[in-house]
Amino acid sequence: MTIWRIIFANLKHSRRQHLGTCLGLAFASMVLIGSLSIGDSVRATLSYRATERLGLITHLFMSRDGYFQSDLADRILDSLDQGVKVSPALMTTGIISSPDGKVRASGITVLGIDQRFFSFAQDTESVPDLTNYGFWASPDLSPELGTEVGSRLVLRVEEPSLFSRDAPLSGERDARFISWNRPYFGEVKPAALGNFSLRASMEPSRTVFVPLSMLQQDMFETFTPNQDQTNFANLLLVSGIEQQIKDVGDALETNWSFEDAGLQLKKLSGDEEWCLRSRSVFLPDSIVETARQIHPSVQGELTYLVNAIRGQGGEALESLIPYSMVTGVQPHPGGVLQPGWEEDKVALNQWVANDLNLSVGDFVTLEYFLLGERRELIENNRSFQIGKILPMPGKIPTGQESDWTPRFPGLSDAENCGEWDTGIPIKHKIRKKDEDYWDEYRGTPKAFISLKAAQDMWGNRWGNLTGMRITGEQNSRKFKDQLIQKMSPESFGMLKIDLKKNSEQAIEGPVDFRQLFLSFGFFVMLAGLTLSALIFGFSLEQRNRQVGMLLSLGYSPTRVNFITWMEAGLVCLIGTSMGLGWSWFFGHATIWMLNGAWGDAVSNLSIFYAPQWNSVILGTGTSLAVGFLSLFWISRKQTKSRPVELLQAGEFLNRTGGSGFYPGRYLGSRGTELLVWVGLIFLVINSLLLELPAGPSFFGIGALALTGGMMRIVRAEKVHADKNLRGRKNLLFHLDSRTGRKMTVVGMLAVGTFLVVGAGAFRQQGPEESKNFKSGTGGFSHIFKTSLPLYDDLHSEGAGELFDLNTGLLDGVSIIPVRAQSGDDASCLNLHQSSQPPLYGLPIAQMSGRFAFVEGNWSTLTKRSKEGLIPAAVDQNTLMWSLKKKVGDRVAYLDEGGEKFEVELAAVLKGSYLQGGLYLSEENWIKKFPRGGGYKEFWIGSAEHIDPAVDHLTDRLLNYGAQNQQTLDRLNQFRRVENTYLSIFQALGGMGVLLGTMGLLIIVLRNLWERRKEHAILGAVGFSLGKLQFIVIQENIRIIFAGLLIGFGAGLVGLVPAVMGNKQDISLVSLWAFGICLFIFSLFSLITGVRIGLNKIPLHSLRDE
Amino acid sequence: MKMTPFIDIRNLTKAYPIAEDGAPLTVLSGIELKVFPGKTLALVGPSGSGKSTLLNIISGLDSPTSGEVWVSGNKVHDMSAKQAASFRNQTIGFIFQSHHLLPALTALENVMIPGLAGHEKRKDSLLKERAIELLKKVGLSERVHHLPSQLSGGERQRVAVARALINEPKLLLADEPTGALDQANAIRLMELLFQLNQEFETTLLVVTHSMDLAQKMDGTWSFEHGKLSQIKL
Repeated sequence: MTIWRIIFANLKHSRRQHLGTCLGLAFASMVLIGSLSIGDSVRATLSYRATERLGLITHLFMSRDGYFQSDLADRILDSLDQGVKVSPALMTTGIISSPDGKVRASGITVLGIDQRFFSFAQDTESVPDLTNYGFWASPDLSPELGTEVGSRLVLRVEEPSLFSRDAPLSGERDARFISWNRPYFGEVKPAALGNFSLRASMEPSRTVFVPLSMLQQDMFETFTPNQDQTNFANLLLVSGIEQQIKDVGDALETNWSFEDAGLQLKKLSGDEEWCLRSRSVFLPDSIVETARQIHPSVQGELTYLVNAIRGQGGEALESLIPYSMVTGVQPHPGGVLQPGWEEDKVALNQWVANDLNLSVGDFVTLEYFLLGERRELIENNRSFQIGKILPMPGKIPTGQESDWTPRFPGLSDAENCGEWDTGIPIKHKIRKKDEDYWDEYRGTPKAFISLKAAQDMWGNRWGNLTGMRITGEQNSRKFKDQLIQKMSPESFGMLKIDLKKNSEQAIEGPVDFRQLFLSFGFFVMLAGLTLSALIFGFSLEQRNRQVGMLLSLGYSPTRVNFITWMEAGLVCLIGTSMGLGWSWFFGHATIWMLNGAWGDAVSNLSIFYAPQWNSVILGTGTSLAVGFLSLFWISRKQTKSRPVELLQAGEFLNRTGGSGFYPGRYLGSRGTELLVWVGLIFLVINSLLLELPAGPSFFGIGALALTGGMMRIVRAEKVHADKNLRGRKNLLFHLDSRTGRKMTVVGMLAVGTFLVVGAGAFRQQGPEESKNFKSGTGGFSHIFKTSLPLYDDLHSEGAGELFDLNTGLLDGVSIIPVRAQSGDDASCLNLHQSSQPPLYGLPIAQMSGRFAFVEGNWSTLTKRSKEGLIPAAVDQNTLMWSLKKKVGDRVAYLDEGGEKFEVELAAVLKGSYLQGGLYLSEENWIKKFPRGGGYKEFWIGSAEHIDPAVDHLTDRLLNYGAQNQQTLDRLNQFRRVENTYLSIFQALGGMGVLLGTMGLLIIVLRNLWERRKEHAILGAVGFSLGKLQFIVIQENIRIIFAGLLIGFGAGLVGLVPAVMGNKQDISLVSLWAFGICLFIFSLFSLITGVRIGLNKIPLHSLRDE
Repeated sequence: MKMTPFIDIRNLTKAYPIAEDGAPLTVLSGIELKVFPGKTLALVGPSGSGKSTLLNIISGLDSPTSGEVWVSGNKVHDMSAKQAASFRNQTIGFIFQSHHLLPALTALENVMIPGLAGHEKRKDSLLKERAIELLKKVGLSERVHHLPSQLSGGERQRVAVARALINEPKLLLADEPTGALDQANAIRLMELLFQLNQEFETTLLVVTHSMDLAQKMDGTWSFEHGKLSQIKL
């Protein structure tokens, strides 16, 4: 026989009590391991989705706004070893519909790919054959189309513009669409990259896959003069390990060509001159700067279309010449304009001088349009004195253009003036002689001014030059080589994105479901541990005499403790093992709920159960350790008592202050209680003054109120009991003097009540109407989105004509256009971590008075920062939960030119539908994304007739993929997420209350057992069973009252800052409803316990006497 | 040759603090007692007179307010906790009024318990052999594997006697060992104790209310008002 025999014998002998202990531990470990496994499952699901989304693709090289030649992929591959995969792709947005328009899917991603794309798929067998021109749909889009394979569909995308349609001279006002009527070939399976998407988002992947060459043939016709080179793409998808990706990056640098960059060094027709041009007409400042560094003598030029050259004074034959090109040049020796040329002088060609009958010294006025925001045309003019009359240049051969004039969309390809489509209204009559000039000289400038003057008039955010001239073949070749060498692909907006790393980071998610469920289930774990400790404590109390006996037989306290603790360890092992088994059910049940009633918490993502071994081991180990510590804690003092006390008092030792479980004894100091109450008042005042967030305030204040409440009741109980003993008043109601165990249950009930009631109170109700400017809707009723950008102010006359709008219907309706730079949605609807939320640009002047702010306001966004930071507004939920940042923190972005800039979180919106993004002033937004043209989002303000207005807009802009969502619906989406979290919290908190009630039941039964002789004697002297039951209920109902009152009171005090500060809408109905339900439930448990434990007067126990 | 007393109690006082602002309750006052090896001694007196307290102090289970207790040349209350535990285990056998058997263990295992306290290394087989021998000696050879719940009150007390003797103690302290037994069982138990005293030359101190039992002892001491005095029966 060894000491283990005693341990195992005790374990077996006390199996009934240990079962209770094990159940408590099992509950705690079930929640712990289960919570970890739920976190694992969410992660595994997201990880699986990421694998499905990206396949083997690890990196992406993306041209932000421009296009490169798709054979760049071949050039890169040619210069690399085997093993790395590179595939070009063309991604844009479009609308797909059935020919009869009955089926329509707007805002879809259109992905042009070649067969190489599927080499990234896990399943390369069942992939589409892209030699057939047609459409394939992603699994999410396929059911939306509901189209049979072989049916024809119409895909419509916006024709890419050479440069932003916001820019002057960008062409016609209306977006030009390219459409294809092709057969539908079916769905691309998930394993064949059917769910491909660049963003980790919860939104369904609505993609139509199209052969790249099919898109290229039609989309880029206007990009080159003869439509001979249309092989453009905007994505390079890459798969490889780190070194291979570095090699790809190097190869990209090496193979990056002038053509990829959209540049051209055009040989001019005249002397040994070459001109640097950009496909996007205006040369970006970064290129100009680099070019000047390489070759300081390079000559810039800026050609612009003026509405009129109007003669002044003299004997003008006609008042004006309509629509002419005018070029600004740098005066230099041998140039058109000589050094010393003044800024207010103009050189006209002979044709103009003749036409207007002007000579040197006369004056002309140049009239021209500038483009304001939302393509508002602003006519301006400037007068010049004629400083020189230039001879006429040679005629321009057919199909060519003047050396001074870049290819303006809608202009350069026009056969005659009647075909001009410059995006500006033709308000001057075009004469026969103007047509003749066009036929002979095309866009040859009719006037030259200094570059400085030209730039003052026509310089814009897209650039200040339309060309740069360099002389000499050798010079130009060297210049070209050096320029492409110095200008990295990044400087042309080519971004390298580590998709794999991003997806791994995104999986971490803003919501750690491990932590979420652990924090939600914390009280259940605490209650389970408390319950197990309570029951184990009872078991130990019953064994006080045994311990006394062992000590008196010469067992050292260490040895006795060893026996107890080993037994506790085995109990923990069994309890934890039970919990481990239960965690499987807990995990499945929770995931079942998450896939059903709690779906809003996971954005209705279908989660599968996938616990990880490390979590199971960690959870089990922690449960074991914590469980053991709790049992160790309550047993640690047993051997401190003298053997004689243990032998004599047995299980009643506690009454005389021996060992046992008495958390309450530390709560009895008057000084500590005072400190807690003072702290509580201080915290409430602080929360109100500093406007601390409602949630943390609730928990902080509530915790102090709970502690204070517990202290009050412990002290009151102590004083009350002493008085009763001395005064012998009401003695029968105070026979049970075991304060410790009662306080434990009071505490469990109080904390449970506090949490459940608090969660109920925080349940959100959405606003019933959207008109209130200070509500979460900001006074907007609809979010209106289009798949294709709109460039005009929808209230403008031009837009009315363009879209055939009933302007009367839109009168009085606020329509705020919003610029958007895409990013990862950072709202609570996205389970992925967003490191760069979308950036929106807002017209601040029109936002005044809208939305409520917790910090700052709209004007904060217009303030200039010393460090060049751009101030941004953010919704408080996005700030706190998704970004996990605070006011003053920064978020880094790359601007259009690939330069890093930082956004400072300066203003915080209170609970709004603006979750998920960062909001800048439009002015700041444009500075960083000058080429980002148009608007795809509009916020529409409430008015009486708002619904017909929105319906009208949706109808008229159907071809642009118009969709709308009510702001209240959007807010409700967010509220449902919050409310679902609260439901989960309540469910787990409720489980904790259940355990607390079980604790009450156990204490009642235990007390009844301990006091069976008292009851027997009372019965013997004539007390009826009913009277005895009543006495016991009377004694214990105070526990319920105390627990519920403290919990309820703490909850109410915790809500004070939220109610007084108007930071949170509190549902008082829920508060009371939960309180009453808890009371009824606890009372029912008490009565049941008494009826079970005292079902007859225990007269038999008197026989022991 | 002058014989050294096995138990030497010198001017022993024990007082308990009682309720608020009351004077301490003195249970033992100036006790002087010498007991020589192999002797049997009865301690008699009314309930609450301090008999059990004296036994507890002698065994080191309780501590005196003042005075000294020497047992087998050891000053009992100067020992460390570990030494005291070892001393109790090796030198003293204790029989309580209630048997205090571990309900989860069999009679044999209950007897073996003191051997597992870890103060001396003993082969399990030897320990078991001695436990069986002791159970046989107390007349329970047929009840070796029975649980306490399966034994009568007398049998349980005899198991407790066997347990007290497992480590061959030189001093056996019995606190009203027959208090919870009927007369027949009480007589049988006391006969057993005397027999063991003879056989092992164990010093025996018995607290009892029974004058019949006291008469059979080498000496009888009576408690009155905290004082101890020898009486002739």
